[in-house]
Amino acid sequence: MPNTFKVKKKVVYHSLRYEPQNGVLYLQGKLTREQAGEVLHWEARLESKHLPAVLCLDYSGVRELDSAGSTAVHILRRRLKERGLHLEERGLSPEWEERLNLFSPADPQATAAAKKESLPYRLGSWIQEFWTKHARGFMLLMADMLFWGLRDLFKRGQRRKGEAVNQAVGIGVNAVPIVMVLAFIIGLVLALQSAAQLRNFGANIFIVDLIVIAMMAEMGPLITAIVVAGRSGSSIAAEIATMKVTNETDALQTMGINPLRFVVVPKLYGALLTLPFLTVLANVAGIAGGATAAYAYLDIGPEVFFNRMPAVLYQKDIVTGLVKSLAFATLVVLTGTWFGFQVDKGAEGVGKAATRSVVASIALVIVADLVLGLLFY
Amino acid sequence: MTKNVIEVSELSAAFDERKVLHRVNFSVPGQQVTVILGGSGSGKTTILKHLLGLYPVDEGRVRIFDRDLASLSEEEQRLLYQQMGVFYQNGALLNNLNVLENIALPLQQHTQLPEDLIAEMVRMKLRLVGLHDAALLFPSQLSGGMLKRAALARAIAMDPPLLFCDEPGAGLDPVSLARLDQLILNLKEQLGITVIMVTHEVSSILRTADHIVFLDEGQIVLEGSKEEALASDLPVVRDFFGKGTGAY
Repeated sequence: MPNTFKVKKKVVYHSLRYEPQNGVLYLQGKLTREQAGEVLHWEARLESKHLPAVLCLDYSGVRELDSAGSTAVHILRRRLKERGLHLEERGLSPEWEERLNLFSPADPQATAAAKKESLPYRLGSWIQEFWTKHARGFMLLMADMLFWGLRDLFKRGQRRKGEAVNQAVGIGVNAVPIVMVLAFIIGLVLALQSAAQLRNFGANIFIVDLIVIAMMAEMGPLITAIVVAGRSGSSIAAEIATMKVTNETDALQTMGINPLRFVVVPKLYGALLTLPFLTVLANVAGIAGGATAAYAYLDIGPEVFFNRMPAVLYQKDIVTGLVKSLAFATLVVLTGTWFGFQVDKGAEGVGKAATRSVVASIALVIVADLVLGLLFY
Repeated sequence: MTKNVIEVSELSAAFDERKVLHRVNFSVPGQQVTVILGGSGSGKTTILKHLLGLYPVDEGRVRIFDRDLASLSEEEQRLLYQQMGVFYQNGALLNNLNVLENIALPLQQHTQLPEDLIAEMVRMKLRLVGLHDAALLFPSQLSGGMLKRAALARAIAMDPPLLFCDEPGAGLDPVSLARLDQLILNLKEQLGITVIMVTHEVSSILRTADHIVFLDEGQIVLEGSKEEALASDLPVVRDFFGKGTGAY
């Protein structure tokens, strides 16, 4: 009684034919990428209990053999051997033998994925890496930037003439319209939401206190910083990342020019110079928005609104806002620079640097806002 | 005599007012390495981009596998691309995929092969180019030579009968370049593929070329065998191969 293979369901294969009575598998026709999958499909459907002890692979009918077909034959051989079969081969022409040798399989160990470490180990590694690679590096960059920033204030050093002004225009002046529009809308919405509550208590006039203090001490600097982080923080990160990818920073370094002084310090000056002004404009627009809502919903005319303003506006709130704007300017430039310099090779890295920079600088601005808010409380 | 795989006739091209190709005629014989060479700005890359269908053929005709490139529908063009492998100068690997995924991509997109077969094929192709230990690395982690080999592995992933190589030797050291040339020759010998190579690396040309198309200022000044090119009296050709006076 000859050994037989049992196939679960009748399937038509073009690239192979099996004769169970003889224990011969005929590989035939085009063993190419269009049909090579059949070989593995056939093998997967074999029932182990019906496997013969010896199987003969006959290649005499093979007309075409490409890398897909060769790989399929190699996998078939390996899997049948793993099932304990003894393989015999016949009809292998020198051409196909050479082809099979050319496309012989690689060592799977070489391409196997690294073993996954345990969760506590990975967590520990992540914390260690975060501290040594990121937190420490970020602080060192901050120290470096502040050092060069202060030093170059009195001596131009490696800054190009007019560069700080260019940066001030790019970072600050060009952001005026969007900052003012957003601040106006936020002032309007803030007043709108508060109006209904204040009206319930007959405390309509306190809308002035609410809008003025909120805008001057909190919302004005925050909105400005968030817009600048989105506009200029990403642009700083992308610019530095591109310079790094195209070796421009290396070129500066090898020319004896400190990239930080040459590229970043002017941006820091530009941001420090313009963010306080931008914040003042945001405050004005936000208060104007609040005054509009107060007039429309609480019948508080502009005269009443602006007459009350000096009574509720303290010097401390103005100073708080301006100090915050300076801190936020430093943070946005610092974060953009950090992520720009962190980039590896490749265009994808530039995009990632810009995205990470925006997310991180907005998060840092909000944290800094909390810290400064507590300090000035 | 092998059949011509590509035939270019009266091909002209211009960017704005500047003519870069002037009525170019040449053919690419099958199962041979054809090298398109010439100095910088001679029009090599423009020709390659026309052959690849990246630039439209406005004047003249380009026939690949007996099909006129200009008359192909989008679907026919897509099928033709499956017959071509392109090995770009800078590798052009996708940065967000590792080497293994980069090479598997055309197989996953254009075939119905099972994933385990594709994975095995990719490993085999990597072994073929001597890069099996770099399968899980990302392009940004590869050296210049490794990047080239990975790009070649991707170009031959689909076993194309036609392989285009754009400046394969650029940025490689002589030893790596010789290995790469040998690899391309092996592919030609063992798989019978046709190779079109754009290069100006003389050592590489001497090692690999069967057929030479020499361009100068957008015109073909010589088409023939490597021996014919080396024996040429044309000053521009002699200068190129380091035999001239340098007066050209």
